[in-house]
Amino acid sequence: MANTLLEVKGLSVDYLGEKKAKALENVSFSVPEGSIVGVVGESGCGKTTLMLALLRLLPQAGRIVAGEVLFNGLDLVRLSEADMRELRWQELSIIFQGAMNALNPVKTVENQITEVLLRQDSNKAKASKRVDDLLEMVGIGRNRKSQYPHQFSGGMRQRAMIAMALACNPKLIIADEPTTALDVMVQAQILELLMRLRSELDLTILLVTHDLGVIAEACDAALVMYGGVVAEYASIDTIFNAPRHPYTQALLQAFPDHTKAKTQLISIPGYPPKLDDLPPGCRFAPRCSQVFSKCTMTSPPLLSYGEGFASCHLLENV
Amino acid sequence: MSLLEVNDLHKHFSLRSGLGQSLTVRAVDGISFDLAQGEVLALVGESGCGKSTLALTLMNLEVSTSGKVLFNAKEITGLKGRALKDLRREIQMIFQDPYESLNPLMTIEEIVAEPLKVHGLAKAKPERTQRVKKALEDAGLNPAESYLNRRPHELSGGQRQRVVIAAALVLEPSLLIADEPVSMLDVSIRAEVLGVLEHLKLERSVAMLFITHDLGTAAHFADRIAVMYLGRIVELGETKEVLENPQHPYTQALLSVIPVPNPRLRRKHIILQGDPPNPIHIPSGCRFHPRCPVAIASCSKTEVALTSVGENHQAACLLLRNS
Amino acid sequence: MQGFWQAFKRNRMGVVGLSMIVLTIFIAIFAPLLAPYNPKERVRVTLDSIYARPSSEHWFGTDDAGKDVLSNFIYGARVSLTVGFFASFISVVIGGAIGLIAGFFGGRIENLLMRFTDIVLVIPDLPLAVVLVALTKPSLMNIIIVIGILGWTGTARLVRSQTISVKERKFVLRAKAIGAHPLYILRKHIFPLVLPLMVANTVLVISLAILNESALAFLGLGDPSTLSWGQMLNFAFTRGAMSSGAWWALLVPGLGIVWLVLGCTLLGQGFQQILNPRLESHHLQKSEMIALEAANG
Repeated sequence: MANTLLEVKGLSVDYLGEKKAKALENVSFSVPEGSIVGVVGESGCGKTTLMLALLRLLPQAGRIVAGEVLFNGLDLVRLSEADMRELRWQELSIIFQGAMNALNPVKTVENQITEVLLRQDSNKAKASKRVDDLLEMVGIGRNRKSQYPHQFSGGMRQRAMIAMALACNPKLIIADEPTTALDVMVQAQILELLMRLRSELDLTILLVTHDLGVIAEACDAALVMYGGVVAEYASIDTIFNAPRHPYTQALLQAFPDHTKAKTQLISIPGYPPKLDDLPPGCRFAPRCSQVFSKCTMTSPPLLSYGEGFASCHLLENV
Repeated sequence: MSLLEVNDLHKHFSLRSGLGQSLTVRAVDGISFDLAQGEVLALVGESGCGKSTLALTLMNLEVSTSGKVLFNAKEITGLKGRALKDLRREIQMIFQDPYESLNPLMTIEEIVAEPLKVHGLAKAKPERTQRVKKALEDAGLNPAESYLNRRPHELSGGQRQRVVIAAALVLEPSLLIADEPVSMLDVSIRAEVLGVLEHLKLERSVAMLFITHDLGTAAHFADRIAVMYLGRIVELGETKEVLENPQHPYTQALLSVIPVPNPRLRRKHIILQGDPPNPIHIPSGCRFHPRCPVAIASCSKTEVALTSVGENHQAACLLLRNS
Repeated sequence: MQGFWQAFKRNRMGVVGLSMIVLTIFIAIFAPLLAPYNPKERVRVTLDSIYARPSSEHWFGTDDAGKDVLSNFIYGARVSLTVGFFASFISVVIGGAIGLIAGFFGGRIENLLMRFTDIVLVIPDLPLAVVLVALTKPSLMNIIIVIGILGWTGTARLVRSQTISVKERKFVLRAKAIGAHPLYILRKHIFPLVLPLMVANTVLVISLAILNESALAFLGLGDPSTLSWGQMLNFAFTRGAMSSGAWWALLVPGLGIVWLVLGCTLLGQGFQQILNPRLESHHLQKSEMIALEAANG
């Protein structure tokens, strides 16, 4: 059994505003060292908030109101801003969606990566060598390192982002929709790269995505989120072949699978809840096909069912 | 008889580069297919393969460079004025982004009634409202009354896309061109919108050209699939045939990398290296040969047309022809 | 619209600007009630009443003709505001039409219109205005027209770029796909979305027009039958207020112009911040930018 690198316990985040929004409530899961864990959910399910909360990069209105984020035993929630800044990039780094916006358009790719390196070690020759290694690792040819981001295609930019994230040898990489808006072929290239880097560099990756297919292809375990809470957390095989939460089950039936031509896709009626206007009880209750009276009254706790965890009242009777 | 018949359609753009040279972008470069009434043809390809340009050209929103498009056996390329306006009643389009394709200042009723107004149909207010309500209900927005006076920002993405569909339906077209109609929507809502389109096809026998980059969605919805690469169709056939028995190396690669929501089915991926190709510099011979894992020397010299590789199944590959 | 007012109320700059303008308009409307004297009334001039110092009778002193500066100032607000509003109306109509047509139709029409705009833009407008007003009779109407037809270039450029960005939006393509006429699309889909920015821009054009009117009047090209703030400055300047040490005769109208121009600028900037929030993003902290990015993406 591998060590647990990241453990999130009861994390809750509120957005303050005219109406308080409970963006995350009681989120718990753990990420073993060296694994790829997927975070999946529809828009507004809180996956972006979770990612920002882990990095302590929440927008001003966002507050962590409860919980712990243990990274190698260190509670990130209680860390000072300066220590947290130190930790970001060095120990845990980020790959953003839409690499065009995340890269500086007026600096060459080489310069941007060098900048990250020089922040901790001012040896220029060493940095230059390291940049070459990093670019080779992510598959960017040496002849392209002095180009600007706009000269890169979407896939190449994403590779540059990954090189930057790897610059300081982080232990954990949080990748936010790293393949969204890319073509399937490029997506396959990037996923292959991430999986290769994982085994070569012994990385741990938290892969945030809305695409169940990407989760199935790349991850070892998955965290299914719905309306700011954990719906289910289990190994990848359990999630796809024996899910226990009705939401996970419904999501799978709605997801197109080209190996099963012309089967009926079953949609989930209704819409995800608004975080500032949550239903009482279980947040999925209004759309759930297996709803019963208790669901609309109390919200279910996260229960263990052996192979995983799910927050559903149905599990209480077992 | 086919409803739509496309014959060797080309759409080239010229770009002026910095040095005054002019470059030709061959976005659509010799496309032929036909579409029967009530049939759904999925047009699948990566970005830059020309599928969206093809849609706009078929809609006469772009002027084709050469080739013929017959609709109900009548030539529709280059139509103008009255004739074009009449054609617009028959062919409607649904766009990808439901957030961008509705005017934020108009109410839902105004949006759905707009095509009627433009075509001078249903001039009496009660009749118009009636038709708007019917279209909204057909698009799955029930009860229609509760939507009439709302504005786009009050609706979710899925509801907006249904409004777009309703506005396309209100003229009762016989052909819908849908450009990535569900790619911006969440999975749970996607299936619903596809259900609405499916219903239209079955109940009203509306034909559809369904443009998507997602073979998974196409698999569930289309009768036939056409795979596009750099402005050409490289494989065309019945959905089941294309998915289970792909013949063109590009289709095979594309199918191998589409994520399958089943971790027990992790397969060997045929990952094509490099970026999606660029329609400014189209390779000689078979345009797929530089990325093709099984290319042979003559692939760079000989252009191949679609040839039959089975019943209702065509592909354009030199290797298939030789064997 | 409601959302706009919500945002506006929170925009301090805009609220201050609006209050400044509203106060000026109020003064202009109720001038006869507010002014202690009627500037048109003949006064018997004695040596003491010329450039008399501020006193309890004349709060801001008197001018070279022995008239009350405060009353002149209050009535002068009417002229400045009239010129500002009407001239900017002309500018916005011309600039808006040129911008909309150029942006919407593009191609050769756009090229032609925008080159014309550039030409008008590079001609220094004050000297040209001086020439035009000097050639025609310097009546209030002529001044308004001249300022109006010289002040539209900024509006034209702004409206053009906004039109182009609205034109690219998918609902315009959708309207084309249902067979709508270009003019219908322009009227129904593009104009209503360009309008808010045009209104915001109008406020800025007003301040420009007021400044131009003051400049013309100061140079002696004001309508002799009215008394604007610019003219008050002109009279004070040419008729020895400086040498008599009558600072009040210069300061009062000068501050009036600054007040009104500042008010318009603040309001216009406030509007633009609300309508075009991207202009503001550089005030954000870096971490907020990253968060925003993530939330948008």
